[in-house]
Amino acid sequence: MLPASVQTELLQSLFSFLRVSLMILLIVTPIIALMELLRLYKLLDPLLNPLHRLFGWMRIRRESVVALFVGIIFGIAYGGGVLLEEKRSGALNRRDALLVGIFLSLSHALIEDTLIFVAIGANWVVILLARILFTVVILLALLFFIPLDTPTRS
Amino acid sequence: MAHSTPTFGPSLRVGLKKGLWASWGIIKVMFPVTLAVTLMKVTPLLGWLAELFRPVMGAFGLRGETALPFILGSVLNLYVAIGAMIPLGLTPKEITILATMLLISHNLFVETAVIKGIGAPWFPLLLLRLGAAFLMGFILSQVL
Repeated sequence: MLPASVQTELLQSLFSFLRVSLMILLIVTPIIALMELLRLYKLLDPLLNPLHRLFGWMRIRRESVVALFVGIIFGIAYGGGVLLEEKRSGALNRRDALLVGIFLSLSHALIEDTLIFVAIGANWVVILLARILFTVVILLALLFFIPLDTPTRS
Repeated sequence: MAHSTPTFGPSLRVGLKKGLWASWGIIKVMFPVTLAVTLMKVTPLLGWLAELFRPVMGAFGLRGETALPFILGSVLNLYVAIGAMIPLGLTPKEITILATMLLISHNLFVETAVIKGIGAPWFPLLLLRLGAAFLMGFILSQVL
């Protein structure tokens, strides 16, 4: 028989685990379903022009906004297939790959990853808004050192 | 294959099924980690580890034990990290700081491979992620 203190620890962990599991089930399931519908009905396509304006301060080309947005919503690992396809098709040039790389390195999978930490009790304002603010500040600072597109005009 | 728009009802069902499957995947990954860290907690192992990492994690207002989820999350993924956080009994402030650090630095092997694949300089960006995680951890420990 396990000592009482060990039993208490195990029970406590089990309860916390069940609580977090339930939260994850309730949060992740509809999010994945929603993302599936977004993908299936191509609901993101009409957003490309407004998004291009939203990210105008980055001086990123319209073609590259797809890669950026897929990473922001779906993440680097899950959106990886799309990201690599954008590179293969030539939509993502060198400068934009750097910009997208910097942005996504600091902020990506903003919906699901944020919510799974809300499930265990993190403050969403801090983990979401502070993270985005931090990303924008760092990127703005780095933009000083990133020249605009190389002279090869296409 | 015909390119007709899929109907909403079945699409939603497929989406929900995928969602349930993904949730189950997360829960399945978390369980053994939560169990292992709980076992570490009832042995001196977690205490030793906490002692070892106290100076590092202390810079972010965190206890030494939190090095475990941070390292596991950075190398593996966020679900493993959350599994490891569950037995630690962290305060909301500690959870928020650690979550921010992990949201910036996680799954580094897989994600760095993708970053490299899109033609971005992967090594500086890897350092950027680690540096940013530490910087944000420090800032939040001061302002929260």
